[in-house]
Amino acid sequence: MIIILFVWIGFLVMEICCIMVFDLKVVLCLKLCVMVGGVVCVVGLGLWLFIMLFLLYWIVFILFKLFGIINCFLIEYWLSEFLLDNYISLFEKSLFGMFLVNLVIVVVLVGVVVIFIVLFSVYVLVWFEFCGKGVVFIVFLLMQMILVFIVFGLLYLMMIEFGFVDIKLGFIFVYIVICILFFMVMLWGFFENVFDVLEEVVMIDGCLCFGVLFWVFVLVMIFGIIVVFIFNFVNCWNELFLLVVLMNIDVNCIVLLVLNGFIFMFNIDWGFMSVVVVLIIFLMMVMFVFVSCWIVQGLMVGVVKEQFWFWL
Amino acid sequence: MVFYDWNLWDFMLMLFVGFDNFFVVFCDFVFLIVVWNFVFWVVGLFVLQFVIGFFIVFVLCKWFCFCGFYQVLVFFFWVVFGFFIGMLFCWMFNVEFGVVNDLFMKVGLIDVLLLWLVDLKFVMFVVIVVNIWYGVIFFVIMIFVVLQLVLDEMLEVVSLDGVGKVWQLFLIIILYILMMLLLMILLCVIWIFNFFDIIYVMMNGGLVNQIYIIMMWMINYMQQGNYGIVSVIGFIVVVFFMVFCVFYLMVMWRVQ
Repeated sequence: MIIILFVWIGFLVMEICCIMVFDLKVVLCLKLCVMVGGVVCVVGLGLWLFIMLFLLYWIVFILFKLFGIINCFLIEYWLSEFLLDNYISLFEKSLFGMFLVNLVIVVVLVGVVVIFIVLFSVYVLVWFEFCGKGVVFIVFLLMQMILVFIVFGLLYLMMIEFGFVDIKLGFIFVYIVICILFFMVMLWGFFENVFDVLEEVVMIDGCLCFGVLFWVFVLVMIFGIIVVFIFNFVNCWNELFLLVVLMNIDVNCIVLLVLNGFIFMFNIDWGFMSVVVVLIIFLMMVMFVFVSCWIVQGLMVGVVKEQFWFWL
Repeated sequence: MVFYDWNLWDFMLMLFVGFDNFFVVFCDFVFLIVVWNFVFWVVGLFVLQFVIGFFIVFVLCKWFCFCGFYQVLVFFFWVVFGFFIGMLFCWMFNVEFGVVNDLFMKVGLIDVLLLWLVDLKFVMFVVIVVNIWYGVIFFVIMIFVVLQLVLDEMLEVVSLDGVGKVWQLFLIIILYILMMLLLMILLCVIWIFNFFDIIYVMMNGGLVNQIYIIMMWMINYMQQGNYGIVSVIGFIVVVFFMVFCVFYLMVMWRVQ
């Protein structure tokens, strides 16, 4: 309230100043503000767009340059010749295709398993009454604060004992465990929005618990589930530290580790790095063209998370 | 682990040291620098990302030419590896062959090459700018969703009563979505806290520890294999955030 009061006073003072200094009417002042606001919007958006496009251009630009020319003092902004050496070398000298397949396998598997587990867990937590439900939610929220890399050392030792180091299954297993809580909190809000009546109607028609879950909740929450999958996809896609700890063998290597491998002690192989990123960006761009509208639509499903506060 | 001298290079010698690890952490000359950097990092990032995120959302709410294309571009950079973004910006801000210096020189904004990633005056600024650019998308998505709660009919009624756009924003929209906004703020703070890839990649403990934030400090000890100290730092961080979280939730409860 104090902030709002300050803002209100600020606007009042601004308005009075405008009238006194410029001798203009209030309407004209507001029009001026709207005009200035419009200009700021256009400039801001333009600048943002410029940076994004420039970055894209620069990444693609590096792709066609040779390693020796990339790090030179006289910076070129236009290509004198298109060289595909980086692209050809990457596929000839490395198992890039396999690394990409590994990444997709890991990300999809993690996503599917996480959603499967989370669906059951949240269904139980939301629709079955028991004591301390609010406490469980708070505990889940607080667990987000615990940093994973504190336990990296112990985790590594434990994974060696189980024989889970250097295999995809090990990473998948650990990542599923890490992700579950966050997505439970997220889906919890989504499930809360499904009307009780819907469940009751389906149950009267003879549907059992599993039927209710898959024929009511999953169908009603489909956009929400897709969003959870996308969030999970992006998080898993970006995970580097865990990969560095758990993966060391080429055969099971994942793209991000390959990128990490292009960083040497005194130099970085920008050419190869750029090829990898451009290929991945292309894949992601195709995906995002389809799913960008679903993100907001899906998140909309879970907006009434404030219901949690009634339980506390 | 907090009370043991737990070294990765020598598992057999795990001595009980009581509170010695805590003393080591609190007496380290880096401690105060780290705390200051961390506060500056979290508060600076949060405030700027929130304001810029709000601005982008309000602009994107209105239809304009290539609006869809713009939205795809905004959302899409979110899935490019943070690690790669860090590397790329690190290169672009390089003193000798960085694009930023070159462009600024050509435009006439600077006369001499600026040491973006070496000079303490610029380092934190650069890292925060890059992080804002990358992380603001998460804020945009969250704010966009929260704003969907506001009903158009309500705004129409209010505007019929003669309430201006600015007042609508502060007196109607923000008050109406306050609870969701508060919850969103908590999630965003957690996200900022957990996402440190860019600062780690760009700085990697450079500038004689002057740019450390807590996570980098922790990783530094981890690389030395000193898990006793790592645990202490982790313990302090977790306790601090849990207390913060509990207080925050209590405040939210009161507001509710």
